[in-house]
Order: sequence, then structure tokens, then C-alpha cells
Amino acid sequence: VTRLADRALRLALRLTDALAPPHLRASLIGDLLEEVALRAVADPTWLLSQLLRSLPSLLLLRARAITGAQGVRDAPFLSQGAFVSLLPVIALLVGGQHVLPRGRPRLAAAVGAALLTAALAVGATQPSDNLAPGLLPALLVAIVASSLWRLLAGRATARAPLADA
Amino acid sequence: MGDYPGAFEQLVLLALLRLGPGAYGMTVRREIEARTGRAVALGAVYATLDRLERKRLVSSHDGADTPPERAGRHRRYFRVSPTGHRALDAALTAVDRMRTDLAPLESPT
Repeated sequence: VTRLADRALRLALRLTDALAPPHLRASLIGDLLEEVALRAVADPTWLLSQLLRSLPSLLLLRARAITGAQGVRDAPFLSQGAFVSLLPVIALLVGGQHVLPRGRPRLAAAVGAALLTAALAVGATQPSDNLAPGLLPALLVAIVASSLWRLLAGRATARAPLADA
Repeated sequence: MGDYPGAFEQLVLLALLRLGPGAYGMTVRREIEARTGRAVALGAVYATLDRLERKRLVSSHDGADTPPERAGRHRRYFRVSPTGHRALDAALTAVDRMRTDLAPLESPT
């Protein structure tokens, strides 16, 4: 259990270090270390659940730091209402990867689209830390867009010889 | 007055008030978890604190102390700003008013 807890802690620290924005990184990691030290018994389950539930929030923090959102409200594109208007963009990002050549470009597009979708989904669920309302539509859109794109791309390819005739 | 703080934002603001000047991410997380019984992620607490600070409802400063278990990392202390006090008061008052004259809430049978 201790070895598993050590590994979970190392993973949590590495991901937090990579994702947390610079101005909160030290205090966030320090809090995590302090809380682990406070727990008398090594508990990898607690650490992993903390990590899993913290990841979307860390992504949102990073997205906020990147956009440099200022003022009373968050950046408008992260609000629930505007999220709907961004669905076509997400659909394009998710669907568009199929026109890219296999290999790194397609992988990079897929990872980028997944990160953006996750950040937007989290942004759309604020101020709660409950992911369900935003994540579900984002996943549905990703699945539907991806399937539609493949279908349309397949038909276009099939029709191409006839178009030449 | 703009929008009211959201439900989780209210919990964080209340935790900050309860904890006083020594409040930081970990203590806020533990306070909410202990009082509400709700499992709370540290990342969610920090995301909310960051959002509240952007709304100027809380302010923060780095502490000078670095306990050994934090491996040299400082604590970031948070406190509710006067604007935060007013916003929280307005939100809680609104809820109180909506509850006035309402029968005790029970699950419909």
C-alpha cells in the first residue's frame, strides 16, 4: 500500500506541477504534501480520487491563466450560455482530425481537441465542481461530430470517381 | 449588485470566514468536507478561490512560514474582501427571503 501511495503521490505531484498555473503551483503542491503528511495512514485511494477530481479544475485554471481573463466575470467563452455557440468549433476540431494524415498531426489534433473540450466543459459547469452537466453534452457532441465527419468523408470519397465521369 | 456567488463559491466564502486569517487551500477543503460531508477536491477549491479573487471577492497573500512537510513551499492565505462580505450577505439574504413562510423542506412522498 505504501509503495502504491508513493506512486500515486508522485503522479499527483507531477500532474499538478505540469498543469497548475505558476501563481498557484507552489501553494497547491504544498497543500497536497501537507495533507498527505497529516494523514497517518498512507491512502492511495484518497490521493487518486483527489487527483482525478482535481484534474478538470487544474485544466480550467490553466485555461484561465492562458486567456488572462480579468474582471468581475470569467472570460465570456467559459460561460454556460456561450458554451453552446462553441459546439460547432469543437465539432470541427474533433471531426477535422480525420482529414489530417495519420501519425503525429492527427494525435496532436485529437489531444488538443480533447483538452479544449475538457476545459470548456469544466468552464460551463462553474461555479460548481460537478462535471456532469457540461461534460456529457461535450462528449455527445464529440461522438456525433466524429461519426458524422467519417460518414460524410466516406461518401465524398465514394462519389469522387462519378464526379470525374 | 452583480450576480450572486454560486453555491460552491458560497461554501468557500463561508469556510474562509469560519477559518479566519489562517485560511488556506487545504484548511478550506477540510472545513467544507467536515461540515457538509461532501467530498471536495483540492483542485476545485483552488479553481474557486482563483475565480473569487478575480471577482475581487477574496484577497490572498503568501505566508512567510514554510513548514517542513511542505518541502519549502509557502502557504497562500486567503481572506474575504469587503466586496465578498457584501456579495455573500446578499446571496444568503436572498435564500433566507425565499425560504420565509415556507413549510419545512421534506422529500415529496
